[in-house]
Amino acid sequence: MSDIINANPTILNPSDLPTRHSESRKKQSSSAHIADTISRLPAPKALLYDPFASSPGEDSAYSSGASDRDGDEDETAAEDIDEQEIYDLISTISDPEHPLSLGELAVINLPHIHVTHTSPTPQNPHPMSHVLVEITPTINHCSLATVIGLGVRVRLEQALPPRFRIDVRIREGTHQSTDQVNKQLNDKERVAAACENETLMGVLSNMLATCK
Amino acid sequence: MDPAQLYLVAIDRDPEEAAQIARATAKRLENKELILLSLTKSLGEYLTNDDRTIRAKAIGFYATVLTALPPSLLSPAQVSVITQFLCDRLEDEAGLKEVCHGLLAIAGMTRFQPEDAQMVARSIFKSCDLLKHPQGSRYLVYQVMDKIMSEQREALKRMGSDFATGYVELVTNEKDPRNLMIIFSNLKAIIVEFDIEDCEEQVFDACFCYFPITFKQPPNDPYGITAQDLKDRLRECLQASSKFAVFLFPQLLEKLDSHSANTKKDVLQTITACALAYEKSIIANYWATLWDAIKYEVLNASDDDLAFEALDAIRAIAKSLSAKLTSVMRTSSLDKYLKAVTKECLTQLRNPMAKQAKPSASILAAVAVASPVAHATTIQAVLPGLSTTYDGLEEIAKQRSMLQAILPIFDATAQVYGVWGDIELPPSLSNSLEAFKDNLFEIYSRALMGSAKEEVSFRLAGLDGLTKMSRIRNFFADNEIGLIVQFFDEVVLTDEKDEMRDTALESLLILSRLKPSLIMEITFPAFMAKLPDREEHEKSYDMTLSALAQLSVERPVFQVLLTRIFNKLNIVLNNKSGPGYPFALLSSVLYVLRRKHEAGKDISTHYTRIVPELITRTIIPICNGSGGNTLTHEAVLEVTGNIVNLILRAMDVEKQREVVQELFKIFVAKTESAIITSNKELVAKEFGPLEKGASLQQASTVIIFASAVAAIRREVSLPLENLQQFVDRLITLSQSPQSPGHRRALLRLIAIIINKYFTTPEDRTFLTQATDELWASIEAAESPETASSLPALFWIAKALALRNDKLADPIVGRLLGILDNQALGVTVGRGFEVLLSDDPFLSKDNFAVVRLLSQQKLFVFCIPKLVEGFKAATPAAKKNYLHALSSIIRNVPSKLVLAEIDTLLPLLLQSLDLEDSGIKTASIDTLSVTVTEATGLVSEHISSLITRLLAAASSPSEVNTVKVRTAALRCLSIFPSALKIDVVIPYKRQIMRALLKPLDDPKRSVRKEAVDCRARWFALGEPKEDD
Repeated sequence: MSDIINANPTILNPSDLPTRHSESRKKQSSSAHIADTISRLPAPKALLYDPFASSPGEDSAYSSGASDRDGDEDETAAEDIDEQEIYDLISTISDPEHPLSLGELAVINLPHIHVTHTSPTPQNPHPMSHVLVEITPTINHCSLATVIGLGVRVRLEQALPPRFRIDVRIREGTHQSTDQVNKQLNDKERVAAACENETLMGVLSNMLATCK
Repeated sequence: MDPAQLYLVAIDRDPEEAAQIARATAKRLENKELILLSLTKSLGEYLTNDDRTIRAKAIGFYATVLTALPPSLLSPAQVSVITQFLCDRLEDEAGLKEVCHGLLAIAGMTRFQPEDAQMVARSIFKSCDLLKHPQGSRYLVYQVMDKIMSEQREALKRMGSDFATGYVELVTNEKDPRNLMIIFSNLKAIIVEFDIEDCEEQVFDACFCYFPITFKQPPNDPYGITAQDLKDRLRECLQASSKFAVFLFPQLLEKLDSHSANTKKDVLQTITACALAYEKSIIANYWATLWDAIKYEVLNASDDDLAFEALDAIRAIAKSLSAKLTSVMRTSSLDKYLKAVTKECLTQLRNPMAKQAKPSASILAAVAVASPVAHATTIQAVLPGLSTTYDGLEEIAKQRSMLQAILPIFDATAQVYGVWGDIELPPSLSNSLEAFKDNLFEIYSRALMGSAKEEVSFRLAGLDGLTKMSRIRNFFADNEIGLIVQFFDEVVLTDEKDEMRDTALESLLILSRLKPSLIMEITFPAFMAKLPDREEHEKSYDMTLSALAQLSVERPVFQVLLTRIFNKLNIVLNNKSGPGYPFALLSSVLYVLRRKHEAGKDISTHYTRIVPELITRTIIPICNGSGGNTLTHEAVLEVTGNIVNLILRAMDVEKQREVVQELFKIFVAKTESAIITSNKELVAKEFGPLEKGASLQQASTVIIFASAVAAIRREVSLPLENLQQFVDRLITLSQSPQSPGHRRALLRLIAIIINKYFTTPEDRTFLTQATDELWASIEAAESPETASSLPALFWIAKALALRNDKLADPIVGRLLGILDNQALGVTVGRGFEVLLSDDPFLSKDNFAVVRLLSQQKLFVFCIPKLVEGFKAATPAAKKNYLHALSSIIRNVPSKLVLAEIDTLLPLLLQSLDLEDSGIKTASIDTLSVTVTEATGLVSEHISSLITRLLAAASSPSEVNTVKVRTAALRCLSIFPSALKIDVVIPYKRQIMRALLKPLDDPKRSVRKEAVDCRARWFALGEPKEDD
C-alpha cells in the first residue's frame, strides 16, 4: 500500500449516513431507554406470566391496561428488501485504501441504489427482482474502482436471494473509463475469473470483513 | 586435615555441610584462632592444581569464608591484600563465578578502599572476556560492577573516561534480559554522573544498539522481566543526557520509517521522553526535523494508537520549549515551532471535510495543552483564521466539520484553565480564548438553534461546542450558561430527533454537576410545566419524566421532584387517568431511589415522605366506596411495592421493627395504624385484603404487603402469635385467588415466611403435614383447574430448596413423578420455571436464606430423574419432560447444563421437534453455548443438529417465530469458528444452499442474521491472507 492514490479524500460523518428510521428507537441511548422503562407498562403477558394459569393472557384485570408494547414484533407483516437494506449491506464494506467505509467516503450513496420488484402474475408466479448500484469513485482516475465494484458485487451475490438480478455500475461521469469498468463488473466470466485470483480475493475478504 | 581440604571433600556430597565448614573457619578467623595468611597459603596447592574444578572449588571455599566474616573484621591492609589476591585470580577463567562471590564479599567490607574499587574495575576490564562465560557468571560480574559502583562511585569517577569505555567494552554483545536490567541501570548512572565527554558516542552506541527492544517474555518466565521493563530502563539511559540528541534524533527518525507498529510506537515514546528530559536549547535545535517527521504519523495515521503516541510527542516538544516562558514571546523557539505547526494545520483545515482535517485539529489541541503560553500562542494563531474560513464556508456539511474540528480546542482549554469547581489555581496568564467568546457563542448557538431540524450532526456540533465551552472555568458568565441551559431544555422537550434529545440531556447532566443551581432554577420548572395533567394519547411525558429522574439524584432536587410528582399524581388521578401515567410517575420515583441506592446513599430517610403517603393513597379509595382508582392496577401496585421494598430494605433492625408492626395492623390485624395518614378508622374497619371474599382491588394490595415483608431482616420477627396458622391461611387463600397476580403475591409471601422464619422442628413437622395435605388434594384432582394446590407446592419447594433444606427433595421428587400424568403433566412441566428462576424478592438482598450452590443442587437432583422419566414416558407425555427441562435450563447458568450435556443433548434435539416456540428458543440458546463449549459432542451430532436448525431457520410459522429463526441462524453461524474445519466443511455446500431461503425471509431482522451466517460459512475454508 505504498502508493496511495487519493491520500486526502472527503469523508462524511457517520451520523449523517442514511439509516432506517424505525431502528433509531431500538438503538436506544440511555435516556430513551430509561424513558421506556419508566413509562412502559409491562405487557400483560410479562406481568401476568403465570405458568399455572390455564390460558394465559385472558385476564380481565389487564384489559384496561391499554399500552403500546413492542417486544413481540408483528410476526406476519412482510418487509420487502428495499434500497436502505441494500445500502446497509454494502455501505460498511471498507475502502481498500483507507480505514473508512464506502458509506463514509460517499462511494456508496442511498439515492444511487435502485431496487425494482415486479408483482407476481399467474404466468410468472416468481418474477425476478432487480437491483442497480451505482458507485462513485473518490477521484475520477481511481484504479481501484474495479476492485470496489467487485467487492460490492460479491457482497450482494452472497447476501441477496437468487431471485435478484444484480447490476453494479460506475456512476455516469465520475470516472474516466466508466465503460471499461462497467463491462468488467457485469461480465459473468470475468467476475468468475477474478474470484479465482487469490491475491484479489484476499483484498476482497479484507474489505468485506467489516460488514456488519 | 585443613579446612580447605575438608571443604573440597564435602562440597560435592553435601553443600550444606561444606558451607558449615566455611562458616566454622570464618568463626575461627574472627576469634583469632586462625590467621588469614595461613588460610590463604593453605589454598596454594589447590590453586595450582591442573583440574580446573578443584581450582574453582578452592576459591569457592575462600569466597564462602569471606562472605561469612563480619564486615568490620579486616583491616584496610588485609582488605587490599585480599582484593589483590582475588583480582589476580580473575585471570583464571575456571573460577570466575567463585572469584566474583569473593569480590562481592570484600567490596562489602567496611574498610574497602577507593583504590581497591579502582583495582577491581581495572582488573575486570583487563581480564574478563565475558563472551566465553555463561549467563550466570556474567550476571555475577555485573553484580560486582554494580556493587563497586554503589560503594565507591567517587573513586571510579576519578578514573575518567577509562571507566566508561572499560564498562562499555565489558558489556558489549550482552543479550540476556536479566543482565541488561543491571547494565542499563549502571549505564544510566555513568551517563548522568561520570565525565564521558571523550566517549559520548561510544556510550550512546552501547545503549542505542538495543533499540528497539524486541524481546518477548517467554511463557512461565521465572524472572518476570517484561519487554516493557527493558524498554523503560533503556529509555532512561537515552533520556539521561541532552548531549545524546545529536546521535539519537537522526537515528530515531530513521527507524520511524519502519513497518513495525511496535518499533514506531517505541520511537515515538522515546522522542516524547527525551523531549521532556532534554534541555530546552537542545530541543530548540531539533523541533523542525522532529515535527516534519512526526506530523506524518498523525495526518496519515492508519492506527489510532500510533496517532495518539505521535500527538504525545508533538505536545512534549511544545512543553519542552515552553520552559521558563511566562508570556507569548515572538522570538522564542516555542513561537517558531507553533508557527510551523499552526500554519500547516490551518492549511489543512481550510477544507474541513478532508480526511486530514480532523487529525490537524487534534494536533492543535495537543500543542494547546502543553502550557498556558503554548495555549495562548496557538489560540491567537488559529482562531482568527478559522473564523474567517468558517464565514466563507457555504455548505452546511463543511461548516459542521469546522465546528467539530474546533471542539478539541475547547477540551484543551478546559484542561489548561480548569472546569468549574476545580480547586487548583488557574494559570496566571489570562485565557486567550476569551477574546473569541462572543463570536464562538454566536456561531455554536446558531448551529444548534438556528438551523434546519434535519441537520442533526450540525446541530449536534453546536450542542457539543456549547457544552464544552460551558465547562471551562470562568469562561462564560452564569447568565450565558443559563441561556445555554434554556437551549438544551428546549431541545430535550421539543426536539423530534432522539439523538438530539439524548445528547442535550447528557449535557444537562454534565452541567447539573458543575452548575446545579442553574438546573434547579431553569430546567426543573420548565420540565415540570411540560408534564400533562391527564393521560394523553401520544405519550408526551415519558422523555420528560426520564429527564427529570436523571437530573434528580441529588437530594435537594429529589425533594422538589417528590413534591411535584405527588401533586401531579393527585391531579392525574382526579382526571380519571388510565394506569399508564400513574405508573410512569411512580416509576420515575423508583428509578431515582434505585440510582441513589446504587450510589451508596441511605434511602431509608425517605420513608416518611414516601411510604405512608403511597400506602394511604392506594388504600383509602378502595375503602370509602368511591370505587378506587388506577393505583390498584396490578402494574402500579408492583411499582409501589418495589418502592416500599427498596426503602424498607435500607432500614436498620429497630426501624424495621416499628414499621412491620404498623404494616401488620393494616393488612392483618385490622386496627388503626400510624402509616395511614388520614381516616385511620375507616381503613381499620373496611380494609381486609386477607379476608376470604375480599374484593379484587383489596386483595391485589397483597402485592405491596408481600414486597414490604420481603424487605424485613430475619432478626426482626413478624408480629404474629402463630405464624403456622397464618401460613395455613395464606395457602388456603392461594387456592382460590382473585387473579394470577394476587396468587403470585400470596405464594411469594408464603415462600418468604417459610424461607426466613420456619426453622424449628415444630415448623418442620407443620411443613411436612401441610405439604402432605396439599398432595392428597392433587392426587384427587382430575384437571389443572382442580389441582389448585400445585402452585403452592412449587413455591414451598422453592423456599426450602434455596436454603438447601432436605425437606425440598420429597416435594420436588413427587412433582417430577407426576410429569407423565395426563391431566397435570403440562402444568407441572411449566411449573419448574418457578422452582429455578431467580425471584427478585426471595434474594440475598432481601435477607432471604440463599445458600451457595442451592441452584446447582436442585439441578443435579432433577436432571437424572428427568432423563430417566423421559425415557420411560409415553410419547404423549414426553413433551411434558421437555417442558420441564426447558424451564430448568432457561434458568440455570449454562455451566451447569454443560456438565450434564452428554445426557441432555438427545433431549434438546428432540425438543427442537416440539411445536412450542418458547421451548425451541430455549433449546437453541442452550445449544449455542454447547457448540463452543462441548465441541466434541456436538461434532458427533452435527448432522441432525444442522438439519433441525436449518428447518427452524427457513420455514417461518407460528412456531418458528422471528425469535426462533433468529436463534437458529445465530447458532448456525457459530459452527464455522467453533468446530474443527474437517468436521464442518462437508456441510458447507448444504448450508450455503439452504440459507438462500432465509435470505428471502419476510422479516428484515431475520434476513440480516441469514446474511451474517452465510458470510461466515462462505469464509470457511477460504485461503487466509497472510499479512
